[in-house]
Amino acid sequence: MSASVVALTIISAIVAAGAFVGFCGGSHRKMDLEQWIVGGRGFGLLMVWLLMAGEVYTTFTFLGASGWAYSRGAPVLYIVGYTCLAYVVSFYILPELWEAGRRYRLQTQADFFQVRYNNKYLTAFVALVGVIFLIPYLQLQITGLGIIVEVASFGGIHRTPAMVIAFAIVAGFVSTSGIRGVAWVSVLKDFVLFFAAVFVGVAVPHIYFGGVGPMFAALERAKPGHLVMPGSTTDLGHSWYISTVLLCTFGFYMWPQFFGASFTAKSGDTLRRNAVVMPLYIITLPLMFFVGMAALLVLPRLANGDLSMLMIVRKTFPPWFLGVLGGAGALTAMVPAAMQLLTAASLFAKNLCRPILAPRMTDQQVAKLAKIIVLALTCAALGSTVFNSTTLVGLLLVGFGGVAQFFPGVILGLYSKRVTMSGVFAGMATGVLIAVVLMVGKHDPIMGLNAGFIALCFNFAVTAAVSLLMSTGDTGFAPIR
Amino acid sequence: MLLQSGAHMEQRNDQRFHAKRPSLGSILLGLIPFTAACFSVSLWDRVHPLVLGLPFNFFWLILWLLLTPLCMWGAYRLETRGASEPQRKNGGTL
Repeated sequence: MSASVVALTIISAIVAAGAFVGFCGGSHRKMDLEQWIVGGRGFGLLMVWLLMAGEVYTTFTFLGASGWAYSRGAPVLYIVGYTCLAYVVSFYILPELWEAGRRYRLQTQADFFQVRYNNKYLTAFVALVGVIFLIPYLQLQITGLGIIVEVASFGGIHRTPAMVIAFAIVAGFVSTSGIRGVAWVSVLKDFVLFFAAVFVGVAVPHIYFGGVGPMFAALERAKPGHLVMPGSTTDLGHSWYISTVLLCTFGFYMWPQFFGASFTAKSGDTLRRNAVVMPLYIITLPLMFFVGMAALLVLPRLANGDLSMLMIVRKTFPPWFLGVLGGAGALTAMVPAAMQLLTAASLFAKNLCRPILAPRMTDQQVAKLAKIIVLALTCAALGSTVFNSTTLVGLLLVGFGGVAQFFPGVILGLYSKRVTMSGVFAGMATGVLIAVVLMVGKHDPIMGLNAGFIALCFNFAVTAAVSLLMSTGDTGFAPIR
Repeated sequence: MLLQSGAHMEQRNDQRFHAKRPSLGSILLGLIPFTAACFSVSLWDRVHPLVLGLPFNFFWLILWLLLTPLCMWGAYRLETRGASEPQRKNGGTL
């Protein structure tokens, strides 16, 4: 058997096992809307941990982090900075969001805005912005999957058919099993990927340089400046680091799927303890950087840094190992994509279509519509991926610039009684507009700062100003029914 | 888990939901990792001294992946201190 057949067979086997687990995850339960979106609110510490950690270990960490270590150098450290600090933020806000979720039986992020600000147009706007900025994240997963198949087949299989097949599977198990299916696939994938990542991260520097220390010494000689910011770029310096870390830290739990994942927990305390231990889980992330750095010396002329992880694995290890890693990588694309699809579809059906277009829909009809939208969104993301040429990290930063604009409305909504609906609406619209204009016009970073961060600052300022000018006295959550 | 503290419970029995503000101590503990891993970047973003073969900036951030849970564990103790007593009285598990 040729190398590509071996690798592809193993990848397919792992993906098939993942799909099987995914389909079985929810098979013994009646799938109403509550079960489908929030798993009946019964996930304990371990399940929540796996679900949230599974979300963090995406194609982005796997291929994107090594890719930026390869092509940009030290600026990639921002990923460690923000993931670590995002858990600090989650410690304070998630237990409160969970409590609000339990009180009002919230299922989606937009539901939160509805009970806090009581305006269906703001709610629909939140849902729309969430869905739109989930698409680059979905695209990221699809692109990663395409890269895996392309490298594993030694260029023999074009990425488009591979992406179509894999995403048909994802759409399938999301529709049938909802969030329980996702959580169980996540268990499988974390297990494989964790060990594969540790092994590659330790072995690659050892095989080529005799250790991590000699590798960094060689890199410092060969590419002075790559290991401190701005690395091999001109504009990703310290002010960019701080602004990007802050944007992503505040934006992290504003991703509709992370925000929604907190509702699956059994208690607020589960979420708080989860926040304490999570930084330990990303200790393997620097190993991805090591692989990217090693690839820069061993394979210095790759067209695309995102290929670095898989290319060096292909060069160093036997094909079956490329298959194992590729299979785990494929699952890391499919699990988060499943969560993203599920979230986007429920936002679209429940918070956008029903209140604005068809107020008389029943919960069953919403659930049915959501499943149809899963298919539609899959097609939309697949379609836009074909025309995309950004790096994986670049795609994620676009998404962060958008979803972070929810932060003022959430944090002030929780802790301030003076913030008003009109303030949040105006601030969010300003923030999204500035973020889109700057990013579409390729002005990111601007003046050494992350464009999304600048948008977030304007967002806060407008939210505060409008809330104070148009004060309506005490505002607060809706009465509990 | 519902019986967090006397005052808190009263608040939560109100007709509306009110978020509980974290204590000043736990916020200060949370600010430590922010200062160390974010704001102070120009102090630690350098290659030398190498620690365990790692450039200093890599070492520093990895170190804070280990120290952040310590800070947040302290914050956890502060946040749940008030809650654990009534729970114990009611035969809670904490």
